[in-house]
Order: sequence, then C-alpha cells, then structure tokens
Amino acid sequence: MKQIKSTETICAYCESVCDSDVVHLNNQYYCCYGCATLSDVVARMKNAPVDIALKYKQLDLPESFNELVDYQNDKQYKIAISLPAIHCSSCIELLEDLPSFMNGVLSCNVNFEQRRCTVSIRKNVPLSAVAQLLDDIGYPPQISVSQKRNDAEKAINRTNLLKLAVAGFCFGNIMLFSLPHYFGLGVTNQLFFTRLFSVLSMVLSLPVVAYAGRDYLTSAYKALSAGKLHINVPIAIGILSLFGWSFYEILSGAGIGYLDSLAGLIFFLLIGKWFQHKVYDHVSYHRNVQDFIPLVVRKLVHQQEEWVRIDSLEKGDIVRVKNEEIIPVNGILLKGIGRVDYAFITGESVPEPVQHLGAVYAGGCQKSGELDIQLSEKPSIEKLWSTWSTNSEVKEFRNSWLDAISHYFTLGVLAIALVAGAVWGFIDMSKAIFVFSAVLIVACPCALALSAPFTYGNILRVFSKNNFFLKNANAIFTLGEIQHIVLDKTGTMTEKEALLVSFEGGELTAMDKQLIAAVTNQSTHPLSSIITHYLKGVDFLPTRHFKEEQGKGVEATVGGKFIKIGSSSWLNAANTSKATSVYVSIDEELIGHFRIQAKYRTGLETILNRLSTMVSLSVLSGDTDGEKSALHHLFPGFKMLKFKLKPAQKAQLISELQTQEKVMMIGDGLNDSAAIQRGDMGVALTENLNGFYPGSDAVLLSDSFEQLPEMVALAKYAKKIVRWSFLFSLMYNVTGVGFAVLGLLTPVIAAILMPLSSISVVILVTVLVRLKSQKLNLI
Amino acid sequence: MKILAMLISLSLILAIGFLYAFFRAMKSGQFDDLESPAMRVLDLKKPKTKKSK
Repeated sequence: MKQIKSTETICAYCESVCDSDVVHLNNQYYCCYGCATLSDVVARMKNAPVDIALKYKQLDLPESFNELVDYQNDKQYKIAISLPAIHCSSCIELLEDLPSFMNGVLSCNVNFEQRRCTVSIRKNVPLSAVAQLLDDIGYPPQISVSQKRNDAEKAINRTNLLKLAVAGFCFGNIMLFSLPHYFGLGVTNQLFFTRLFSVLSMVLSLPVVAYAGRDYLTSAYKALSAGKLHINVPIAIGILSLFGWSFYEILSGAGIGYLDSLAGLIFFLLIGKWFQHKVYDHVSYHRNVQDFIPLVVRKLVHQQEEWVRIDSLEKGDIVRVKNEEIIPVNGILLKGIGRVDYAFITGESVPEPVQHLGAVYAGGCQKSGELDIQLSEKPSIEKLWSTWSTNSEVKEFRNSWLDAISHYFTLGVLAIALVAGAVWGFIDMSKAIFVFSAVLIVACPCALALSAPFTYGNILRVFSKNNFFLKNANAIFTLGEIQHIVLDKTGTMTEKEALLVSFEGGELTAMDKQLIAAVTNQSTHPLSSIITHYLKGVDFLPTRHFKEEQGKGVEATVGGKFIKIGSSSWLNAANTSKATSVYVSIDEELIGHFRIQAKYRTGLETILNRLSTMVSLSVLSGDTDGEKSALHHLFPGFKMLKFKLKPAQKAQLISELQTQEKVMMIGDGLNDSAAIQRGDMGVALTENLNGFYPGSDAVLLSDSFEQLPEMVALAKYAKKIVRWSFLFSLMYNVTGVGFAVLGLLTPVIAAILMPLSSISVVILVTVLVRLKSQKLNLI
Repeated sequence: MKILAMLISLSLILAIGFLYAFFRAMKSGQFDDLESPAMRVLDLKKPKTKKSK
C-alpha cells in the first residue's frame, strides 16, 4: 500500500495522489486536466437551476409515479431508469458518481448490458428533477410505464435460464447413471447398483418434467383444449410417453427406461428457446404513443405558469408551449412565432408557419420559441392518442407452415403408433404397449422443434448485427413471405432533414446573393429559411418596403433594387420544374429559380433494383407530388406511386393491397404508424434506436437501409433452410420409428439417436445460415 | 464396490450444491449484467462504500 505523505497533493476529483504536474483551478488541486474539467462541469451542474421539461414533469403525477417506482418508503424511493445513451466505462463512472453532484440522490448503480441504472432517491426530490438532470448531462432517460412492463418481460428470461440449468444438471447426472448399462460395465451385474441408478434417475427426472419441461406440457394442454395441434403437442406426447414408459419399466424391473433421453430432449429444447430469447435486450417495442404526449401542461393563470393535468383544462384556458415541445391541445395562437412541425401527423417535412390567432393542432412540434395557446376545445386524451394511432391491436406472428406441419406430424405419428401397436397385439400382446410407446418416444419432434428456433435465432443475430431488429422470430417467416414492399418517401427514401438546394438560371453573383438573402432573411416562411441557410455567409443588407404575400412570395427593396421572390405564377414565370421551386426577379427581371429537392439516400437506385427482383415496390407519400418525376426517373418500376396521402389513406391503400399480396410497409415516424401497423409486416426506419416506433414489427437503423435487399433475401432463404432441416430430422425420425415398429428400440439406441438428431440439426442450420449470410455480405 | 454408492451420493450432493449456488447467484442478479463490473474496475476513484442491494 502506498503511503500518502503529507506533502503529496490529493486530487480533489478522483482522490488519487497527484504526480508532479498538479493542475490548480478554483482553489482546488487536480491530478490532471481531465479531472479539473470534469470537476468544473460537475460544479456548474450542481449550481445550475434545473428547468424541468414538460415531458419529465408528468413523472411526478402520483398515478404514474406509483407505477414507475420499484420501491418506496417514507424516506426514499428506488427506480430503474433506462438510459440508452450509456456508451462506455466513462459513462458508468459519471453516472455512478451522481450522488456527489445531486443532493438527494442516495445511490446510482449502472447496468451496462441493459443500459439501465437503478437510482435511490430521497423522497423530497421529485423524479422529474433527476430525469432532467440526467438529460442535462447527456443521458436522456426513458421512463414510462410501458418501459417498465418491458423490463418485467426480461425477468422471464432469467427463469428460462434457471430451467435450463436444472435440465442440464439432471441430464448430465442421469447420463452418468445410464452409461454403465450401455457399456456393460461390471457394476450393473449387481442388482443393488442397477436399482440405485434407476431410482436416482427417477428422482432426477422429476424436476426435469415438473419444472424445466412444464411449459411444453401446459402449452400443449392449452392447444389441445382449444382444439388445435401445436408443435408442442407432439413434444408433450413424447415427454409423457418417455416419462410414463420409463417409470413403468423401472418399477416393474423390466429395464432402466429412457430417462436420459427424456432429460436430454428437454435440455436441448430449452437451449433452443434460450438462444431465441437471447438475441437483443436494448430494443424496446413496448413504447406507446401515450409515452410521447405530454400529460401535464403549463397553464397560464394570471401570467403565472402552473403545472396542471391536461384533462383538467377547459375551453378558453391558455397554455404555454416551449421550443421543441409537442403541442398538447388544439387551439389558437395568442403569442409567439408559430412554426409548427406537423411531420408526426402529415409527414410533411417542412414546418408550417402559423399566424397570430391562427389555429394550431395537437401533435405538432413547435420549432421557434415559446407559444401561448388558447384552447378552442376541451382536450380529451383519448382523442389526442387517436390522432396518432388509429388502432392498437397487437399483431401476432404465426408460422402457419410450422403449425400445419406439426398438425400432420402429430396425426401421422399417432396413426403409426396405433397401427404398429395393433399389429404387435396379434403377434405378442406383451410387446404391443412397448411398441406403441416406443414409436411415440422416438418420433418426438425435438429436431423439428429445434430447427426453426435455431434458424431464426441465427438469422436474428445476423440481422441485429446489421442493425435490423425484429420483434420476434416468427416475423422472419412473415418477412420471407412478403411480396410487396411499400415505402414512405420522406425520411425513408430521402435522408432526414437533408435538402438539396440548387440555383438554376446562371451563376449567382455575390451581389445577387446578398440581395436575395436580405429579403429571405426577413421572412419566416420555411422555404425562405431554407434559401437563407443555402446562401449562408453573406451579410444581410437593410431592406425597405418589405412585404410578404401569403402563399405567393416576398418582395422588398434592397440597395435600390426591387427584389421579388416567390412562386412561378406570382412572378409570371414559366413553370419548368416539377420540383419545389422558388423564383427570383431583380428589378422585374427574372434571373432564375431555386430548386429545392429532397436528398435521396445514397445508392437508393441499386437498393430498389435489387429489391424489385424479389418483391414489387410502391411508394405512398404524404408529401406533395413535386418529386414524382424524379422518383419515376430513379426507378421506373413502381407499382403504385401516390402522393398527398393522409395516414388513414395510406393504411387504407395497404389494406387494399393486402387482399392480393403480403405487404410490408417501411416508414418512419408517427405519421406512418397506422400504415406500419396495417402491413403484414411494419418496419420503422429510425436514426437511432432510442426512438419511437409505434406498431412496428421491426426496426431498421437508417444507416443499414442499404442492406435491406440482402436481409429480405436471407429471410426468404430461411424458409428453405427450415425445410431442409425438417427433411433431415425426418430421416432420423423414420430410422427411429423403424426400430420402434420392429420392437427393437432399446434405451441405447434412443440415447444415441435423440441427441444426435438434435445436435446435427442445430449444426446444419447454423452452418447454412452462416454460409448464406457470408455470401450476402451480411457478416 | 459398495464404496461406489457413497461416492455417487457424495458427488450428487456436491453437484446439487453447485446447482444451488447457481440459483443463488442467478436470483441475486449476478448474471443480469456481465459487462459493467469489468468496467467498474477501471474507476479511478476510491471504492465506494457498500451500496444497498
């Protein structure tokens, strides 16, 4: 241990002994600049007044608070908060240091794998303050009731692992007790040891069936009582006949039973299940629209802000909305500059200017400063939610093919068992029951049951490596069946918030640029701001006689010149361009126009071409049809190319397509949520995974959009892999049933055949998926 | 040969002990997060006082 001498300086931040280079800042000593900076940041954070954002304020409502916290008493409460921004060990260090820079936070413990931290907070500190602080230091928290439900699901995963451990333990031990028999070792000649081993195996098999394998039995029972034949039904029959026959054999002293096969079977099945669940922890599909609408608002009472619940507002009340906040109510604008982004609702990417006393609608996002809004009607939360999500039914993916197979499989096996048993009944009555149960034992479709989870599990892993996250494994099956892909335009085919501006009609001189910028800078119209932004870097000249004509354009006199900027009809120009264009004239002389185009994703053309070899493609957009010809030029093969669609119309069109084909919808944002939900498969394209994807069945990170054709191809190939492995495992079953029907199935043959079939199927599908993914350049 | 019986029961008890230990570890959340403890080692600060579970 290092002795700290009195002359040595201790760093005020990291508390380690400083070397020779001591940094001196604010009367404190630090060992390095890193510590000094961090300490400074932390100190500022401590003293800064926390302005709590609307979205966090509602966490303090008793209704939500009580549901969110994991534990609370009179003094403190404990809550697990999702922080997707956690990135590396420094984040852990900073976050776990939270108690040192916020009074009232008692402890903070980070779980890196789940990007979560568990915080204990003193009761007098509101949750919203902690949430805001986390946001301020760069970790926007995701706290919501639905998020919590999602976490509860992860706990089930833990149980699965425990079951796997029990099954593995019992399997290993039972196998040890069975081996002496198989190899004819001396001990088995002694009745004592045969008995001991058999009894021990019986005892060990109990937890395997009753605990580890219980899910298979209950789900089979449920399926049967609903009159259906699920893949779990033959599995359950197999488990029960193995268990029953083995007990009969051991207790009657006829043999040692098949308990090792039984434990092995459940063990392998659980491995398959665990593998399938393992794939991802950090994507949440459980966030609802509800999580994104403010439930509390700032109500203005005598010019004072007051936090109230949204449903306590009445018509005529005034609420204040700050910059970048979502407008929670329908109303008229009383104060402030309205620039409202309705992208969530209409999909139109350009914010809409709102005049004084103009109407604003709930769901829009304010983009330029504070607004005061007077309510034009009493808000209803239900109505607000319905703006975004038309229905919230949960789609359930079924692997119809697998279900059909297990249907025939079960019936087939039962028929063979009955016939074989009946035939043996004529030959040797004592063997009839043995043959009957032997067929059921050996035909247990564990290899069948494993091939789908492992194929899909492997593909899910490949997908998640490429930032494509599916809701569940059966969604791959659906993805493979898709015949028609519908794309949204804005944000899906085009890059988000990237616009391609160009000037047509000769080179703009520096003087022209100054003249134009001077005028556009005066206007709040979105197109003006785009042009101003495009011309950035010029000085703004003073303007006179500035006039803005709604829906036409702007005019002003700058430096003695009369500038007019606006639509083609207003400037009497021939409209030559299909894209959004803004025309410019100087002294009544037309000098050209700005073309404002959406910027398409790089490589979009090749992506579309490759996709079109597998599926048909359509575009449904909420935008204007300014891009129609450009899109048509880019890819002529679109089946449908429609614009100016409302979210409900998109969903309607998808329903129409669905009558003939399986449709996949790819979109972004809330405005597509209805369509995404309606499709047989809905994919949300997102810039980051912390986003919000209502109703979607899959999330694709927009950087990986390029890999989409390959991933669709892989999903289509998945079906082939599953078929091949089915065939493969069927071979084992036929061999096994052959032995069984002839009355030759011994425990040794069962013990070899069953694990062998499981393992070889698992290896086969893993190798096939890997090979194909490599071929498609996905791994 | 009878010694085998004792050995087997001992080994089984031992194995059950391991299974029990795994259950305990699992339930106490040791397998929930396999990454952050490794990163926490790099924390330069003095080890904090023991946190509440």
